[in-house]
Amino acid sequence: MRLRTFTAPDMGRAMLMIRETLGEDAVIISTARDAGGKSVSVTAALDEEIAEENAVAASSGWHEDYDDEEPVGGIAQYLAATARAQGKAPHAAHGKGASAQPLAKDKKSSSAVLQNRDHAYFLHELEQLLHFHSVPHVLFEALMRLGRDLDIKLESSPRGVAYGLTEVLTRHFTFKPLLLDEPVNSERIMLVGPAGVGKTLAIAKICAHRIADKMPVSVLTIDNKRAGGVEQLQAFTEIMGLEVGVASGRSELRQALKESKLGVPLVIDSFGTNPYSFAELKELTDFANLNGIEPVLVLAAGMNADEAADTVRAFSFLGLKRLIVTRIDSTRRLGAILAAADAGKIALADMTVSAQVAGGLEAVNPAKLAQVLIQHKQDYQG
Amino acid sequence: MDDTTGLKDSQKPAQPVALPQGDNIIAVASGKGGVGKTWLSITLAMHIARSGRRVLLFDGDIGLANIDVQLGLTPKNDLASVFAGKITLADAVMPYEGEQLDIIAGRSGSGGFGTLGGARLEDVKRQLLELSENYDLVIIDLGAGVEQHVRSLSAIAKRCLVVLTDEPTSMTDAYAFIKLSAQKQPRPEIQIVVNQAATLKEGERTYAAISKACHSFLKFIPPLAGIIRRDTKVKDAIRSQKPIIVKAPGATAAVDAAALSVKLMVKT
Repeated sequence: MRLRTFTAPDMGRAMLMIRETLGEDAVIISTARDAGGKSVSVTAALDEEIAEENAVAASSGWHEDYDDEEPVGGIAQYLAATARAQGKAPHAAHGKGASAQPLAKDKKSSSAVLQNRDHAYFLHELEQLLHFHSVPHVLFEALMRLGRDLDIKLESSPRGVAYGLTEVLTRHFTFKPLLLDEPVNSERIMLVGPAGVGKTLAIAKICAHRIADKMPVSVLTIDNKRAGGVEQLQAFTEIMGLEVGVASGRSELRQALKESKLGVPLVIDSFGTNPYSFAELKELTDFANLNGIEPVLVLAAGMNADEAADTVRAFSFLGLKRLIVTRIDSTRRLGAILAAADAGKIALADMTVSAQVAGGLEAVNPAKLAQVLIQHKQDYQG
Repeated sequence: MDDTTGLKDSQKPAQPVALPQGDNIIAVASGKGGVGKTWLSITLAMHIARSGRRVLLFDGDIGLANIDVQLGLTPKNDLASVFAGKITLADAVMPYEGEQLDIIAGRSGSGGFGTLGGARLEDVKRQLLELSENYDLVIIDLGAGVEQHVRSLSAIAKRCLVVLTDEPTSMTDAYAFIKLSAQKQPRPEIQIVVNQAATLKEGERTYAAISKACHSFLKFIPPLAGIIRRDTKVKDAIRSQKPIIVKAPGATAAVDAAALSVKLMVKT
């Protein structure tokens, strides 16, 4: 077993270092944050003997998948992507016979040729993936451009695609998960968003996560106008032995903030807000702009991507910094998530991957997001 | 007469028969040397002996034996004489004065199990199994490393304590030992002992790390037997060639080892 410790400014970059050095089969066995919180150390292990056995087992299945694709134009698309990677016109490649020509005539060394082939393979897969997830055109182009400009070595394999995609996501998006695993933290977050996106369930999940780890959490709601708004949250939290505070107005919320315990995170549920109603947004702002509160947008995956982008823009004057995505488990195409984060220039925080209160709230990082994007496409293709 | 070889049964070479596991035999392994395996073997043996059990401590680290060194003993007979065929294993047993503890010492520099033929090693194992019937518990202090002879000796133990520290080399070597031992049938009950932990919490982290690796790659999690905290008094005791429970019975490490010995006795 190989054992190595990687130190990086954040978890995402540490994961990338691990993936680059030890590969996909490495297992994270411990993580630690330095005393100043400026870097993380992640120790990963790899049993190469077992990884090789897994690779042999997986390789047969992989070839079956991709062999089927080749006659349907896989090679043509592959070469088109090669041409784009080399700055040539896409029409340079037509069919299997043409496949070797541009590369064979190239004077570059064989390793450079192979590297180009690997990169082209990645670009082809990236293109297919972004199309599948219905990523809006402008964002699609931006991500493809990043993919073309990647200066890292990629291999023509699912592993290489995952690695390249992780890198592209790292370079374009920001990631800042909730501090759910920090025993002492003073986050004061208010979940905001349109009605029916799963804000209350997300709050219940946050509470369940903290309670399961024996860490304190306080919960408050300003959603006392909607029929059953408070009761719905109470139904979740009562099982956990948590009391829900209710703030009916701005002054009550300010008082509740003053009385909240230092070092204990406070999560605040809000009423569903119509992003196209100025009056509703104004009302929400009265609460969400109170000093010390961070409004965190909640959106359900599966929206139309342009609609998601418009929604984020509508809420953006609250000073949004982070986005929680719900219903990942019941959605195949996730272009809306990417579009929302891109439109608002806000960080992806967490995502809910199950309808159960206990569990299913996961921090988003580039590697995780890449894995989900790839997995959803594979699930769709069966 | 054998139909295919034409040899009489008595002329055929003896087929190796796997020896059974001794229910009351515990092997203490580590993979990496220098993690406190011998110290732990001695301390556990002493604690358990003092609880009224008859205990045999077997120095399985033959070529680099040091149980006798840590206890300041000068054995008249040792394993080197057993290997030379001069005495039986029972003849090499020496009582540790004042305790219900017997010791079979090795001899440092005599050449290890690795230099023995397979037949001789099997004979020693068979004799040890026979001897174990006279005791409540036999503790084998295995040599460092993962070589075949080390694993072969551990195979007669029903349980195997794998000692490790938080050092990466210790973790990887312990993992190697666990992996190779787990391939044996029947698989011994492998348990983890974290030694020299800065705190109990740190010890738990070390255990979490090795168990994650085992779970991910080997698909099983060896349970945690105990955590022994780092303690300078351990070194003092070794330097003075006295067991820690004699030299400093209230030391943190001695207390942690005592807790571990209680756990082991429950099953003994």
